[in-house]
Amino acid sequence: MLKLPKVLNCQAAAEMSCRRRDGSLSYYQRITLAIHLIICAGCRLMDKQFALLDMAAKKLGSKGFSGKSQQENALSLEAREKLKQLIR
Amino acid sequence: MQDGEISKDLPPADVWVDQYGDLLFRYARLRVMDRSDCEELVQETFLAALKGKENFKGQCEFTTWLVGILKHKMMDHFRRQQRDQTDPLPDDSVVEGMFGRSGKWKKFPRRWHIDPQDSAIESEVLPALQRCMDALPESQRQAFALSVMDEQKSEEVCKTLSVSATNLYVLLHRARLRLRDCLEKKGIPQARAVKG
Repeated sequence: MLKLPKVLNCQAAAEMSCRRRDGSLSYYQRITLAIHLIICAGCRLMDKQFALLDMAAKKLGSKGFSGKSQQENALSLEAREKLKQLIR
Repeated sequence: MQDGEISKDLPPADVWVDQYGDLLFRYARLRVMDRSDCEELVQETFLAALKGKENFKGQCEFTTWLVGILKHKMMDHFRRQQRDQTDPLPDDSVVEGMFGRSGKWKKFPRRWHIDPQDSAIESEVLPALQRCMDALPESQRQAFALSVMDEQKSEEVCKTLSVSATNLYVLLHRARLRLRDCLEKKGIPQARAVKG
């Protein structure tokens, strides 16, 4: 008998969409996910947004962002002074 | 030195903090949440560099060499932190709360009016993403930073964070759902959607 892929709910589809990005989804699971994405507009958006999120994260990791002078992304004055004492 | 020329000389130690301190701090800050931990990592990096400066032979840029040391220090930091992590992972109520009992979205994802080539990614989405990463639980943040941001292999990440492969996938999936939700609420795409 032909075994039809099980119908996924959105929560499981979100998990599978991530697992596919992380490279741990079987062929059968890929088909199950693809079927869910055809019928669910919300999960189609989520799937695309995960792609954009990963792309943005890689960009952030490789170059940071341009707000270099922001205080939260700089050493505090005390830390800077302490380091200068240590490293001469 | 001319503009744009890359220096492969060893700069004098008294300019290290001013020239490279913030760069190292920013690098650590993206991957390690706690500011004082980051400052400590920068200090450890500079001290190790000072001790081993004769090993710098100009084979790469000095910055690259320093970041390499920092990466090692960060991995040690993660290993120290994760040693007591228990298995399996507890539930994540925030992520569970995004779905109803039947597993359907409680609030459907909205369309983001932004595309991957958009210049707003750099100027607006990246700062928002960093803020959203700061709001993640530490274990999710570390898993996401190492696996997605730094593209490390999952076996390496599992080793560094002392988590099983299954738990790593759970952490990544929860992190992505939280980040997606956070960007939609606080990031740029929604604001643009309202304007447009």
